[in-house]
Amino acid sequence: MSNERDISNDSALTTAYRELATETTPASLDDAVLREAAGASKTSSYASIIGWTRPIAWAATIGLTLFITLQLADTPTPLLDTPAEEMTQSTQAEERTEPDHLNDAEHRANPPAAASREADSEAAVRQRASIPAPAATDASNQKAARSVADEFIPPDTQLLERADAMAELQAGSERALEPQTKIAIEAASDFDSTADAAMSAEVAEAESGADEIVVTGAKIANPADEVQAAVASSSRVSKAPASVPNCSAEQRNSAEDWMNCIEELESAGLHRAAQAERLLLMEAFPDFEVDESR
Amino acid sequence: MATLLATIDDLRGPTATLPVDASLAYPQPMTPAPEDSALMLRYCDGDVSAFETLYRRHNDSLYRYLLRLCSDPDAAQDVFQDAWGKIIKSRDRYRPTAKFSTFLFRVAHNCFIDYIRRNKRHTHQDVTEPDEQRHPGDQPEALVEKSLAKERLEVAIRSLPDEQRDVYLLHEEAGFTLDQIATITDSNRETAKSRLRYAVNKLKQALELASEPS
Repeated sequence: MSNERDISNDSALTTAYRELATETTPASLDDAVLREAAGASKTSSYASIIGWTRPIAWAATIGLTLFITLQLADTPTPLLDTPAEEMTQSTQAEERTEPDHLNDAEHRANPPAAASREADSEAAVRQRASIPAPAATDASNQKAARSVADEFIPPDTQLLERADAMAELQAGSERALEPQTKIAIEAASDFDSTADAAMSAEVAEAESGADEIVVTGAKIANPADEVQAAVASSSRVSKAPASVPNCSAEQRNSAEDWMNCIEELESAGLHRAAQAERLLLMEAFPDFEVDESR
Repeated sequence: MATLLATIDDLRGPTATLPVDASLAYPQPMTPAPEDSALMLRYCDGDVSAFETLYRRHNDSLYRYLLRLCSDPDAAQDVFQDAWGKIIKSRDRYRPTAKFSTFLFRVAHNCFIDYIRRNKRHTHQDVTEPDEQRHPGDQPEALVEKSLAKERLEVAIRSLPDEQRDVYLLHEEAGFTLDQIATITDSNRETAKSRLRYAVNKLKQALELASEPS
């Protein structure tokens, strides 16, 4: 720095230069430069706007693309190759969601109708898939319905019907046995007054469903006891609680009263009990003519 | 009256005896002027007024530098506008690593080099002796001498080689140091120093000749 001062230490030269250099920039030149600067600044602001909008535009494009992609992924689109097959499968799946017992009952009740309905649903599926159905006439439709019905008809429908009938019969007999059992209990209580206590216990066991009751001949003392023994034997034969006597001992003393009791049982709907009483009546009074038609 | 003033001065005490100009020794609180780099950065952000402030600070010195360097007012104006235009266009690339004035004069120097390359016919103008142009008999003697010295200096500056004139003008007009001059002229410090010494010696000689009685 000292060298610089030594070099330019001539104050006279500096003063002379300061006196010499008094020019200023022309106003026109100032205006031109400042105008250029202002114009460039406006362009710059536009360029900066462009610079900001560009990444925003990119982000918006990417976001929109993602949105559309996700929407398409969520929407199930049928494949162009096999639309009818897929639609048929989906329809079958919908039909499978229906209660099975309804379908089964329908098949059992009216298999051809169900088959035709399935055929109709298949046709509807084809219509929904906007695929022209094969040029099918009514005859061909019926054939197709029949073939489908044959597929769905169980081979042993009669067996199933029989099983259902058996189940209904069993339910009805159980319902019928309940009052019969009550009557038997009442009869047993009446019988206690005249018969042996041990015998009544055995009868109670018979009422409770015991399979076998051994009735000794020594215990039977009167005709009523015989009747009770017959009832026990019948229970051994039928192995059912319906063998319990339903008529009282007094009614069983005379054939007419016993028959009246049996008729009452018939009228009450206790056919099995009436039948059992009728058998007992025939054994006890072989000479009495029983009207079996009733 | 004088006694009255003396009494008043006594009542004021010693602080009142301060000269009026003494208050100037204490700088008044004022907002400091923003630096050139800050103004340029503000202009980069779109503040045109910042550029105007910056321009007003440097426009005259740059214009005089180019006017002496080009020795032609029209060429100086062209180079001047070209230099500022380049600064405006390259504002986004501006980094405040150096003084703005250094940056500005370096751009102007390069524009002048380009101007010389574009105009091969640029040569040293013929230096006409001021004694041949003027008629000193029409002016007072002192003014004549002064004007004569200025014209001789003007002629001496024009007669300098471009490199020496460039270095001298950067030193005298813009107040750059040798290092800054070396940076602006894209040379080393010793070269700038040598050029400056030669230029100053020549100009001194020209002034001494002008001051010598004819």
